[in-house]
Amino acid sequence: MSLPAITDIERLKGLASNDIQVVHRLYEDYFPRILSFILKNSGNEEEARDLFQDGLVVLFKKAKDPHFELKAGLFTYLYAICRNLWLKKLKRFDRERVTSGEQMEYTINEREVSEQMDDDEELLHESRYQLYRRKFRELGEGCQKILELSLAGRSMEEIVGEMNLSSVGYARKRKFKCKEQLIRRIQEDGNYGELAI
Amino acid sequence: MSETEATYQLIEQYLAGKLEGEALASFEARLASDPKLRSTLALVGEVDAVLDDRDTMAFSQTVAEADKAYFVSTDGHREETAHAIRQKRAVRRFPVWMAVAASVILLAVVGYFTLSGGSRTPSEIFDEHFSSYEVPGTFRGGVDTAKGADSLKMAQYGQAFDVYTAGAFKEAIPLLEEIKASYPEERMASFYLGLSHLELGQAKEAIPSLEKAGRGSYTPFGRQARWYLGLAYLKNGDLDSARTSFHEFEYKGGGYQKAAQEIVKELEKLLSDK
Repeated sequence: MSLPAITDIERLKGLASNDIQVVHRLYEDYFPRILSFILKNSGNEEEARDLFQDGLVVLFKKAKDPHFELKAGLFTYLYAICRNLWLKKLKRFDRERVTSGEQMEYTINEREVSEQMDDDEELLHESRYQLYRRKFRELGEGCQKILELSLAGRSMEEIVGEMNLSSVGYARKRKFKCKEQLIRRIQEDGNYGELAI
Repeated sequence: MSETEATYQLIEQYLAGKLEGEALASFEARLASDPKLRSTLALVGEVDAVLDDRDTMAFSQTVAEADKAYFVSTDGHREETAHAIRQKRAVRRFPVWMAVAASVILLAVVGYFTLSGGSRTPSEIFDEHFSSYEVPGTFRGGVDTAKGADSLKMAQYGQAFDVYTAGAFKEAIPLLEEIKASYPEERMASFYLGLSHLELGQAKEAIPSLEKAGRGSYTPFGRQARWYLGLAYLKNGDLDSARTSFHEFEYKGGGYQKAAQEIVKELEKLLSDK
């Protein structure tokens, strides 16, 4: 693409430091190929978007691991993550792969990535965690804040002060409502059943 | 306090290790006999752990923003382009005194740019912003048609991409044209055919293929094809079409935004010089 060349090592460093420009580049450079694979294997655009995000988070965690060494190309590795995730989901969801004349499959050097690849079940766990994060972002700002403060160990009195709430009793009730809403949304999501613990 | 709220409080205290004595024994007895409660406990525990991972939460948010920027720009492309064209036409209808004032300003601007070195040519702008686009992975197949059209098509792509990757774009073109002729709906063949022509400096020949590959919103390579189409128009000297093409990328974020803004700035200089 018509942007300055960027090496895989630079991409990994950018990921580890949460650099949005690097993530933009990954979308430009890699998403079309992942989308192509998903569309040709019983998936749709929305599923490709979710899967790509899941794959990037797995890659992020690898990038943060000081012992991780990228032995294959970065796209090869990301593609393998997404492909393994997708095929696992297809199997779990009992969906048939497309076998029309339009089906294509990219091949990768399996040996290059298999020794570095997380167990398939671990990849599915990450998909589940991503579901939790998405549902959390769908909550209102107030709910997000009260849950974050609570997880950070703030007392109810501190939360009342920081969020300018009327009382400790109200804050406690609000926190419960937000937590219940989050859990319910997760349980009601169509994907949760297949990903459940 | 409702029963559900009380249960959530107990779950929270249990996970924090704050339940003791009789309260702990009672809760554990409930867990042993209530699978739904066990399931909710496991879920709440896992959700808390995930949300508490602040680094990954922050990164997940970054990815969500990048996803939104990428798709908003794709969705908004046609609507924004039509709006931009209407705006441009509206600006042309102005009274005589404004035309005179505009001419004076224009002369001053042209004079400024002449003295300060002038505008770059479309070719120069193209040369700065064009770079090769990699092939998508490795394709392997057989010519054994008994295995089906899939295998044959993969073999054809494999051959074309081997040649493309080696930089032999002149040889890649007939191979990609053959795929396009056999499978007319193949966007990927059109995309790389357009790229091959561009690599050879054949912008005019690249345009129809890139136009075809760039149609539609959620198509693989669609956004990339529209980017390179803009460059092809630029190289071919069609500045108005180039301006329209880059408009998609100008304000909607994504990896192309900065480059698009630079190109548009130079294009507007060139268009005003005409």
